[in-house]
Amino acid sequence: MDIEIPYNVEEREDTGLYNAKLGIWLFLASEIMLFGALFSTYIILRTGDTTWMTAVKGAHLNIPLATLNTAILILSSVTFVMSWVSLKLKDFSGFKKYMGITLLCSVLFLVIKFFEYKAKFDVGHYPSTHNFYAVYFTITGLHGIHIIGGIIVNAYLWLPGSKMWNTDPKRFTNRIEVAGLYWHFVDLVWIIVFPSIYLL
Amino acid sequence: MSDHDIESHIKVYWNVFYALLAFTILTVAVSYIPFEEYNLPFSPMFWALFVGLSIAAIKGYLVSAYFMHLNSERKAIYYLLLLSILFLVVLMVIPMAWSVSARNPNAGYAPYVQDDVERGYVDKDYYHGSDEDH
Repeated sequence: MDIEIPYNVEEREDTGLYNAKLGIWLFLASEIMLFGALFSTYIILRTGDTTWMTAVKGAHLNIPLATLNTAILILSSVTFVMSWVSLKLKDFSGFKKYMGITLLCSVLFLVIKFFEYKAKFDVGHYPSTHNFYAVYFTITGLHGIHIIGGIIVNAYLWLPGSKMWNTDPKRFTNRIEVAGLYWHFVDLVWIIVFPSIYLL
Repeated sequence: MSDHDIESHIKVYWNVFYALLAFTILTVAVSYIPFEEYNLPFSPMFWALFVGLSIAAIKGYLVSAYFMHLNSERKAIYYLLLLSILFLVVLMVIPMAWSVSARNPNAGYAPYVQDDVERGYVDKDYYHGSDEDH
């Protein structure tokens, strides 16, 4: 028995939204609270600790690498938008190209992150070393897990999931829009993490 | 959306990308400004935070308004976000207010640092750093 789910593609009259779009925004609202709690913790730990800046100086955070990672994530965001625009223009090969670049950027981000973490572990800096490292590893680690989650979903949509383009192109385009909203949010979190942990 | 509309949108997306790159370079550049050398009201840390987070806010606006299409979104999304931002403010303000409150017996006290040193978890010099750091 086939049950037709309403508002899968068409928009609801009262909200003007299709199901997945309302769903992803509710999820992102919960994500705001998740990262908000960690930033709140960061402020409390930092303002209560007079030795904080000494620990930050001792950490020797790699600012050029973190800046490069910021640029990579911004590039992945714009290519994600372009992959959605390509579908709007019914250019499937354009979608494949731009989504491919997005995935490449996301993997590159994780590779750079790996070397950054490795440099910390090599000199014996662990989350237990100082509250600064606890904050640093928790926030950037949770952000990294979000990148991994995004890669899994985006890779699915890039390869096997893209078959939907042949059967239900409108719904597939919506899927890319919704996955994009998540990806831009992850980019947005990094835009706040980068100055507040690495630069300030 | 007509094809012509999309063409102009593509231009906007790439311009936002270039603006985000420029702001990223700017935010790194301003982090080297020695605010303590100028005779400014409030602490140097206040100015570093103010300038750094202002640039981050502009970048955040660009991403959410253009990439996430919040500049032309449905009302339901705005209400939903307004509510979560309200909760976020509460989440940030309550612990911050408590940490500086006169009723807080531990205001200005950093137990985790002192306890760690007392228990010998960390070297006292690690926190205080070498003389060159000061």
